[in-house]
Amino acid sequence: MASTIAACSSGSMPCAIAIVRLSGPEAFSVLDGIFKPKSGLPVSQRKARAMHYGRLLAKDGATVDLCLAACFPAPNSYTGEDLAEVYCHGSQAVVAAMLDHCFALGAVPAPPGEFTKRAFLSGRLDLTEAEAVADLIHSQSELGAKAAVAQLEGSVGSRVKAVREKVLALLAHFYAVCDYTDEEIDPFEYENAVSVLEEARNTLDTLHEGFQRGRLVRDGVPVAIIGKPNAGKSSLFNALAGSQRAIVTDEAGTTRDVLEQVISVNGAPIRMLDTAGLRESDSKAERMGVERARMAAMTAHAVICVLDLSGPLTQEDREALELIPLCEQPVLVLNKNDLCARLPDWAAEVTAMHPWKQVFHLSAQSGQVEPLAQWLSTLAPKPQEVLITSARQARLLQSASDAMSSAVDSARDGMTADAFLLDAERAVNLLGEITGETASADLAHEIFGRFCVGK
Amino acid sequence: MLDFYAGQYDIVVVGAGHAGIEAALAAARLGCRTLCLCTSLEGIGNMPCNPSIGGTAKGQLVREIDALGGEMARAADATCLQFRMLNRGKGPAVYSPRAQSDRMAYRAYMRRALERCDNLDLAQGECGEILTDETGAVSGLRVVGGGRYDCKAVVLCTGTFLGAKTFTGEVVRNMGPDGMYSADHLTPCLEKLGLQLRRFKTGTPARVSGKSLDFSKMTPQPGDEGELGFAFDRTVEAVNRVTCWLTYTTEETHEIIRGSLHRSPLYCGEIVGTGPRYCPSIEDKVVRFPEKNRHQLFLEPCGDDTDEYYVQGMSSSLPEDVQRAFLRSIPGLENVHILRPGYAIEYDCVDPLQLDHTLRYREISGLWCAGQLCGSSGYEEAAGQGLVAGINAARWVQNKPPFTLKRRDGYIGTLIDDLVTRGTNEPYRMMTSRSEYRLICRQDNADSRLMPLGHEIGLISDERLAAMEQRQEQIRQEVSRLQKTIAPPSDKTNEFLVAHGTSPIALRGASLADLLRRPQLCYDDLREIDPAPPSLPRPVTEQVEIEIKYEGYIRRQLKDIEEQRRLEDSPLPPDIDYLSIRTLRTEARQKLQAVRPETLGQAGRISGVSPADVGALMVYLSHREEQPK
Repeated sequence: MASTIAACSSGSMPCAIAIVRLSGPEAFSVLDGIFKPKSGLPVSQRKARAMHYGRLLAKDGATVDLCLAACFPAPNSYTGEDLAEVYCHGSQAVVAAMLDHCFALGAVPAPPGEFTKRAFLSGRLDLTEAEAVADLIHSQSELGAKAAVAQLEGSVGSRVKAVREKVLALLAHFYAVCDYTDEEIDPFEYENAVSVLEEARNTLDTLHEGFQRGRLVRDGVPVAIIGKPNAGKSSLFNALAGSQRAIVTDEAGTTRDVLEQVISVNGAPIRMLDTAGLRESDSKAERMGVERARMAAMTAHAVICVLDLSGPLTQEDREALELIPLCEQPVLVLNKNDLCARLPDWAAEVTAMHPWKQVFHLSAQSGQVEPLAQWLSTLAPKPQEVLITSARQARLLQSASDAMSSAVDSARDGMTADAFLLDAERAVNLLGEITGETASADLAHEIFGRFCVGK
Repeated sequence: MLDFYAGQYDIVVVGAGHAGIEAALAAARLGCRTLCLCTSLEGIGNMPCNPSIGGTAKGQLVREIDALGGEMARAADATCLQFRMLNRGKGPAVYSPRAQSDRMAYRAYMRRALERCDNLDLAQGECGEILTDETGAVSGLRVVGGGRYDCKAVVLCTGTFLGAKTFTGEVVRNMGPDGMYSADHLTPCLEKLGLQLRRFKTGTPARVSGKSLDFSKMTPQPGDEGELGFAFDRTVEAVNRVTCWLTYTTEETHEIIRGSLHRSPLYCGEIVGTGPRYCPSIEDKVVRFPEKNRHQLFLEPCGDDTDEYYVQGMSSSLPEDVQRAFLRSIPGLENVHILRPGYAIEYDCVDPLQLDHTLRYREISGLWCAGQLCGSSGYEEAAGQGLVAGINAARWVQNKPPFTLKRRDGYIGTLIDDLVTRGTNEPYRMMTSRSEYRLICRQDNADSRLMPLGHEIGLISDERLAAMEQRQEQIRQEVSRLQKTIAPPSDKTNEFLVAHGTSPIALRGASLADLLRRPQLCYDDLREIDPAPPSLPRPVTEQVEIEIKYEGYIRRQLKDIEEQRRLEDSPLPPDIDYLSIRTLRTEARQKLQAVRPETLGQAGRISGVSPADVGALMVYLSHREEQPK
């Protein structure tokens, strides 16, 4: 029984469309877990090899995208196994959330070339594909090696290595005691083993938390800008980004969708999500844009609510403000302070309405955004934090931590060491996949190196 | 020297050590006319090092040899002096049976086994040359005395005899183990055939006289109680007849050794061979672990009717006077009399990467290698290889497909796969940590894992197979009965549970299998609350208990095996030119070309071959299949 693998099969993001592939015995059940078709009937029960429209869900059940999915039952699929594909918007956030969800449902990250490998094993690879894929795998392995080396030189590699070596030493100790019964090796202490394993698990958990933070570095800290059309969101976006990316016109509702751009704010990577105005609209496209804007606001790490000081507080403003209790780290920007002689009365009311993280009075149009930029830059992780940036590594860490937990639980239950150390060994192997080392050879080496064994 | 025609055989096995014996017996039992050639008939089945069979991981090998129809287990049972199950309490994956053996009785047993075997001739003689025909295939061999034997296949089991040299301090001799002469003629011939030879080294401690020992200063090490033995259907029970003794080196011992290092052939560069890290001499231990103020040693009797004791833990190649001095610094050995001094031995062996999984040398048709010649160490490792090589030589002669064991099949499969895939730079010893499937490939279930294969080959009788199947059926039925039998939440049950230090059960009760999963309870405990406990043999109840207690772990290992199976069962055609596959990295091309793996799974285990290389290889294969032949 093979595992079910998941990975993004399309190129680098952001882009128009991303394709995420699932292959293996659980591919359809995972797909049905992450994707809810409009019609209500799961994709796996509908026409095969046909596109179905629906909602893509994150692990917590939130909708992250409206997109298409299709099922390709075995054996007539690329891999020869049950294969599912999701065609979503090419945003890193959407793809990351989807993969996270897939992994939570039991899928595992596909190592480079794994889809091809499976295709090969089921005899599904044709000649032209074979040639093309061979080149691809080749280049991937070179790139992969470089990437791994780069990571290993960083603090992640050394932390993972340290944990791995500690557990490896524990394994070596046990097997030295067992394999060399006639040698006077210090006895294998059960309690000590449990505490070593627990400590290892805790370290791995901490490192795994670094993944969330690491994503912030790689993808940028998501910060949404909300507010009614023409409150000055796009100007603010441009002022922070230092370029004219968003279209700014006087006609309300020009920003039709969520514009994403990672900008460097005082050296910190911030992924600005410039949203469509929250105005109720008859235009179908704009309604979808509004929906996305709400979503972006609720999933972002911080939300900038932009209000126009030069006008009254409108119904639309109030709708935007209603979102604030659902958002993390809301800040209030009272824009166009250069266009009003004195603060309107509603300004005090709005300021008191929510526990704003910060309130800024500024004029985006004239580019005076430094205090806001200063605050935004504090959201990014500090350079000295240990960060994991690859989803594959994060998943391996998570699995290693799970395996370590099983080992601890089994040991606490009174299971013999030969059994619970199999869990520990699995963890060591998973960590070895991160550091590029294999366990079995290392284990023998450790036994020989550390213990006095002989005739 | 005058050549003469000496006879014709299907197979000639060179050597009658532990590998040679199994190879010759297997070949002859499978119906091949077999000659077993040895340099000394007295040396058949000799144990030139420790007088014991089995031990951690090695005990598993012995039981696997038995399950495949080999002889070692029965010989060890019949000549047992003391039997122990090692690692009791550490878990079933590492339980390992071990027997102290009567060396002389073992040799006699094995010699009789060879003499009694149909189709098998014994002859004393040293192989001088392997003869090949015009196609390059093996056609016979010539012994040093001039006799020429025609044969279709040769199995080389030269142990530590090839170009052997022994060292005891300054005394260096061209000599094999235990004072037997070395085989000095074959090496150039093997080189000419293209085998890459290396020099490995091992060593052994002194043997001492029992009457010179003061056992009152040592700790006795008795054997186990209960059912003893290696063989699955034993007619002879192993029995405990002797006690072993434990004592320790002292600081004075270490001082003497440190003060004499300059006279050690190891440290003054006399020895060039690579020694095993796991079998260091006492001088090695003292140098490498200076913080240890004592090392333990065991005095093990070499036989029932001899006074000779083996000093386990004190392997040394220091001069005789130093050996005498340091032994006399050990409590209980103050007046020790050395019967024979310890020595180091250096010998020629081949690079096992040149062999396939049947242990056949890939470049010559009809030539197999087994045992220490392949870079392993240990009697059991040798016997396992000899059995596989002998079976395959016979099958080849009989035009049958090769017989190979996978890693998932057990320790023999793992041993051979390690040797021919990863190679070894030092004498290779089997260890439980080397088998990734060690919770499945246990010593207790070697019969169910391998007897069906042994039967298929023709080395296991219908009766033995039926007995194994009956045990399996008993296990299945008992597991199922324990799953179905519900212990009611009665006072009796709960008092029993609390008395065993575990929690009482709630309203619905619990199955006996559920209760057995609790670490506090063992199979025999359950009899107290079992309404109808059956009377089953110990090997059956032991496996029932393991199957239930370790169910989760066993299931996961089975899943791992399943996941690997597709790769392991994808063959690689033997004629691939790896150097021409441009999608492979250069290192991978060279390694693959040298090792010539038989399956994709094996390719992935070669050091220097990455998963991406395996992917590229698959693509290459699919491409190749599309090409017109």
